[in-house]
Amino acid sequence: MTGNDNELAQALSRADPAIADPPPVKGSVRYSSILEAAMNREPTRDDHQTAQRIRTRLRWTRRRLAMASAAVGVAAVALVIGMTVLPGLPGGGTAQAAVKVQTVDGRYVIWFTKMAEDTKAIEDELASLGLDVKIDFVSASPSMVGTLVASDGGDGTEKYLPASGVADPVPGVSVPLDYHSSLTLWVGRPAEPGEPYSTSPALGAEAPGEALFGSHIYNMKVKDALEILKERALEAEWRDSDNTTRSAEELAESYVSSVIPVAEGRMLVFTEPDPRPDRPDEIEEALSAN
Amino acid sequence: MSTNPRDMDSSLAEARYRSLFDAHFADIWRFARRRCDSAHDADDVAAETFAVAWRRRDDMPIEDARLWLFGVARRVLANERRSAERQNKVRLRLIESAAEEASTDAIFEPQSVVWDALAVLSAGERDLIIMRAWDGLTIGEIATILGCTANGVSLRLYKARRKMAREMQRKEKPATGHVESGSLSPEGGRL
Repeated sequence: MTGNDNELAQALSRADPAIADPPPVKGSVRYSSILEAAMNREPTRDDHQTAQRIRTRLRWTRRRLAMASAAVGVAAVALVIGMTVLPGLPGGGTAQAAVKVQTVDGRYVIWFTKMAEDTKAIEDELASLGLDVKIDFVSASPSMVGTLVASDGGDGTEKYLPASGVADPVPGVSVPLDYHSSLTLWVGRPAEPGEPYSTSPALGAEAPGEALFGSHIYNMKVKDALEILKERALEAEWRDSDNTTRSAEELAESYVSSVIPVAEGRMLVFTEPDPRPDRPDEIEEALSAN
Repeated sequence: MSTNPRDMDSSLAEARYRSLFDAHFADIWRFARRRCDSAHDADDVAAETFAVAWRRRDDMPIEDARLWLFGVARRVLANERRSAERQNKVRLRLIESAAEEASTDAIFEPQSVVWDALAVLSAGERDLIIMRAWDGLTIGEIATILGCTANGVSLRLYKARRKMAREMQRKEKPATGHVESGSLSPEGGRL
């Protein structure tokens, strides 16, 4: 770390309002009154929305982590509208359509079965059902190919959901039959040679299907991690705890805190001077799944 | 192995909740304080955040509770800001004196160089800087809270840090004694 880096970090640290103004301590009247207030407050209008949106975001993150290992069956469904799917995908078939729409329990369930560059045909087909859906296929690291990586839309309530029930890697989304809001969906597609990834799993390169799957590189010393990267023919950019690029030699005694795949064969490795806490069992299980 | 609070009786659920409150209250309160004008406001945001956690405990992912709470706190703060904006519009019509507002600015006067630099950032950039530098969140954790990719967070942080360093170079005053003139590089900072 340079002196310049330190100065900005220290200037920021000194300006932290929560240092001069610390939180109430446990046992104090203020602490107890906040706890009491929290358990007795009346619900606000946004309460349900706040909780559900954030939970959904976390659930999607975990779902992405487990995508490669999730072996889900095809659910029984009521009706298939204009369904045509590609060979090798759930349901079989030989036609060209890149979208499959089903109705289940009063909702459209939409599956994207082909990573089409031209999304207009998909959008037109959905428009014929009265759905204003925009699709964007984005370059993705291997485990994110075919997943619904992000979405934006709705009228402020949780009306569209990631669909489940069809074997991966087909991404899907479900919306009510009377859904009238616009919806934009970003779906992972394979990256072109040399093309940077637009998206990668939340837990990075260790996720199933990714370049460092099974490497146990988390909390490994950089000097040891370097060997694994060499074995797997991966290039890396190394960052210290201040997010400054360093050489692996400079960081040899630091610990790997996360690794992000940025393109095929290229990793961005974040490090910390001390080991990070153990990861939750759920995440470790997802990362070790076959 | 975790158990969903839904399956527990109410006393056990309450004990679990109190344990969760004890574990995360300080972090959530600091998170709020860094984004509010006063400790009183931070008390209110923390209380509302944990109120949502209590009422929606069935929705709360046990393993991701901390990040889930940060996410709830962000939403609560956004709601508070919208509400404050509405109230301020009314107040500005009724109150001509700005003395009350001026009193809160005095808290941060000694760190004006840093706050001036933070002020030039967009709200999103400022949030990233604060989450990384003050809240101590990792790139991956920030990405989870914001619902975007770690790559995107890293890139946006880099740009925000560079913009902030430039502003500090431009505006820093030797009289403040906090930052040496011309010493900051755009690459610097614990971000």
